[in-house]
Amino acid sequence: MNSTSPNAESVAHDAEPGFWRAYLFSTDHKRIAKQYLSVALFWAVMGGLTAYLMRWQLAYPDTEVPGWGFIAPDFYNMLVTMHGTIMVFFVAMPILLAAFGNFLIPLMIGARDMAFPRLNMLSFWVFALASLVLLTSLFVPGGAASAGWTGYPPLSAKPEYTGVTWGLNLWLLALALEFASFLMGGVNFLTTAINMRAPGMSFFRLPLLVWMELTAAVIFMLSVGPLIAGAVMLLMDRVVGTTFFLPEGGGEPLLWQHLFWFFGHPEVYVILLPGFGLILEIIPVFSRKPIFGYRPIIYSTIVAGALSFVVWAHHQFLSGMDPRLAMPFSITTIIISVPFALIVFAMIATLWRGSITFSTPMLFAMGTLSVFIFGGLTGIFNGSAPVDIYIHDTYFIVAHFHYTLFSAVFFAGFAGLTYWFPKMFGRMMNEQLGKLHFWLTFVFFNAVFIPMHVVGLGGMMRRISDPTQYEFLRPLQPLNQFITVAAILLLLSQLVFVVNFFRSLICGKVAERNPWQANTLEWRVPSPPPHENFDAIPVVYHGPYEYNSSEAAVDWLPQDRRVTTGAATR
Amino acid sequence: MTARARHPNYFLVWLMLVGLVMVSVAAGTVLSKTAALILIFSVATVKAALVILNYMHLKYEKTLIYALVLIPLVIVMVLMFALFPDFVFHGHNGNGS
Amino acid sequence: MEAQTLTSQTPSGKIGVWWFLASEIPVFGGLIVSYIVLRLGGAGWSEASSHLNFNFALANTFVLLTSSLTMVLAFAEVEAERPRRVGNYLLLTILLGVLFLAVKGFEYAGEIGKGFTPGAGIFWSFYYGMTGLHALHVLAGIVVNLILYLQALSGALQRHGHRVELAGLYWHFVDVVWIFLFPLLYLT
Repeated sequence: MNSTSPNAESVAHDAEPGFWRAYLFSTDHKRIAKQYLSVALFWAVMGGLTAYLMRWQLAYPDTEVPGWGFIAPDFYNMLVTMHGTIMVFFVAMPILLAAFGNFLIPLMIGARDMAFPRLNMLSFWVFALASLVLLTSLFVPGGAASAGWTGYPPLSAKPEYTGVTWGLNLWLLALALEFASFLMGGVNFLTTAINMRAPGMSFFRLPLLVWMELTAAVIFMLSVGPLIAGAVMLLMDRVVGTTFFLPEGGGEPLLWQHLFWFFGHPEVYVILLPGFGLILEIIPVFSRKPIFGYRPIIYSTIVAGALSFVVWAHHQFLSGMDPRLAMPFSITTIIISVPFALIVFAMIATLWRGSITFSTPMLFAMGTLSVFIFGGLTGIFNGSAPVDIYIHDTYFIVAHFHYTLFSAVFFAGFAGLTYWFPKMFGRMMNEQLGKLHFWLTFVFFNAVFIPMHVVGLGGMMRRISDPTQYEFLRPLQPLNQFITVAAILLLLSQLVFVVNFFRSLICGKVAERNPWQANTLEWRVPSPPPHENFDAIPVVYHGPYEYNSSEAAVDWLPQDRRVTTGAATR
Repeated sequence: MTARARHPNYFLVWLMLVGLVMVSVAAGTVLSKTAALILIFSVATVKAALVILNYMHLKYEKTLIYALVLIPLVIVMVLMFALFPDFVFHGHNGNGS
Repeated sequence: MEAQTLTSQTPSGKIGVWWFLASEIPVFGGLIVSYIVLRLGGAGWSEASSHLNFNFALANTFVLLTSSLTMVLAFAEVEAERPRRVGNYLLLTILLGVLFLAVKGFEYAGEIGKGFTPGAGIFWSFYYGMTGLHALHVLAGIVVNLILYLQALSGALQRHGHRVELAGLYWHFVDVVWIFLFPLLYLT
């Protein structure tokens, strides 16, 4: 071990921690990643439950939901709010950023841990506290927050308007804690990548997942500030009687929308980029080909990250915003599809003439790609102000963002989980169950969300609890019932994953170091990696995607394997 | 951390800061409203720069740290200019004060 | 082959704190920008701001500027390896921070006494929002400095002298925020 390296500092702490240090107050990045994953999977179940309750109410309004009971309109509002909040902030971000980022960044760059292991632990516990506060907010008198996940004032600014008192205050507090947690996480990711890369691991030898996680962390840290300010203002409006967002006191409700979406749209990329990063690691491995356009992908990511700060007002074309803003924001929105199209083309070109193995992770990666392309295309509709004026706040929008976010969070998330499961838990997942899970998820996902576009174009509004109240929506009711049946089947299909996950955890085949014959550094250590990861810090000689390289005898070339004949690549 | 041979003169910086506060207070009594506003916010910017460069030692740092100061400022500016049409040029409520 | 881990020459702690500050700039930035655009587009703000207690704010400006000086001197003493003086300057910084908060508290009390509560109008919303968020940051800085002061007393700070520099970065940032809040609220 190189005692002069900065890594030596983090090595200094005890090698065999006791129970509390090992499982609850661990500073080990891999353990923290699993803690995030566990909490997020709990929230995913809650998010799925809210989806079930909402779908039942929409298909069969005012009937008793099996296993639950009646759903009153104000309870439906809480379901809508909580579904969005939970899925974005308590499922997507902890899985894609916190769990995968924490687990993989130190392993992939060849570090023993994060730059600030104790800060990392703190960030998890602040997140756990945020989860607890959100959970509490569901049970306080007056009910949970019910002003939508976007919390638009004046609806959210005065308790009288929704009847919700502490529920919404706690909701704001939970979000604030969550942001604090991810700020700490972001500081850690970025500092680690700047200061702790293994010898030879230059920035242009980093695996693309690391690039994507870092870009996401930068976008998050630079965009969340105005919303933190907005959240403070909204909380003050509710608690100490200020009038930031209340017109009768000289405030501007529209200001909240700007502050919210200034963060809210970059947040989409905070979720999307790590999702892309996961499948960018998987596609070359199962195509046995170098990634197509490694550097253009990085440049596209940076360009997309920069552009993400100037597209937000496309969420507000119908908000009463100055119409002169519509065209510039339409243009930037359509421009931002260019870097993403480039990344998607690079993925497809990587597949081209590869020797593709359709393992479970690869199937989910392909699912991500196809579903995302679909969602990206409807995004161009929404980004164009004249079209958006018709489809805004309808189920077309709901269908669109589920196509983009479900692909990034669940398809890419399952791809990542099935791919790195052996590294995380030391056992292989069952391939048959995995494939069954993929096909059920893929088919039922499309069965839910393709008809939703039609329902949206038919004029059905988001967030209404009973479409049959409206004469013109009644003909759509059979379609709504179809969506609900498909949604329930989609939710039930996830049981296959649950069974596979726990079964593999207990009695899966024991995993070797590198079951997929991949190049990146995390596959060079035992599965699961020991405390401190590496016996000796590896030295990196290659980029991460040297598959079928003419310099190696086999069709893969680990980043730390030196080829004696010929010059090192890249 | 690193022992620095070069130190800014911290007292001198403090004296300049105090002097600049005096300037911005005096500006409001002497100059016209617009001129005073321009002077006051220029002075504030200079004061901030003095603190950041000398007390926060930015002038000894590398490009990365400069970027960490400047990029967020650019982003805040973008936000501000995008808000102008909605809240400044909206044509009711009279002119600013 | 004994190769070195790739690092920038900047220590991790410093990079971390600067990243944190980079994410703080848009927090205050969002609040200040909201204030600027609403004020430019609305009427009656100057009249409201004339009710503020200018003298208290001016005094507080000097208090905070001086506390930045004592903070940076604490760091200079770390480099000069005079731990006793480090502690003294930290204590001075803490006391100046407390003084700032005390003055701010009197100011708030006076304004509320005159009926200018947070609900008295949009200017007052921003006044309490901006100065309140800033005061919370001052409070956090005092807590950090207090911890460092206790470490200085116990001698633990001698091995971790760079912590004074990192705490200083944060403290000066809070000062810089006030440098802008003062003219925005009191001088216009």
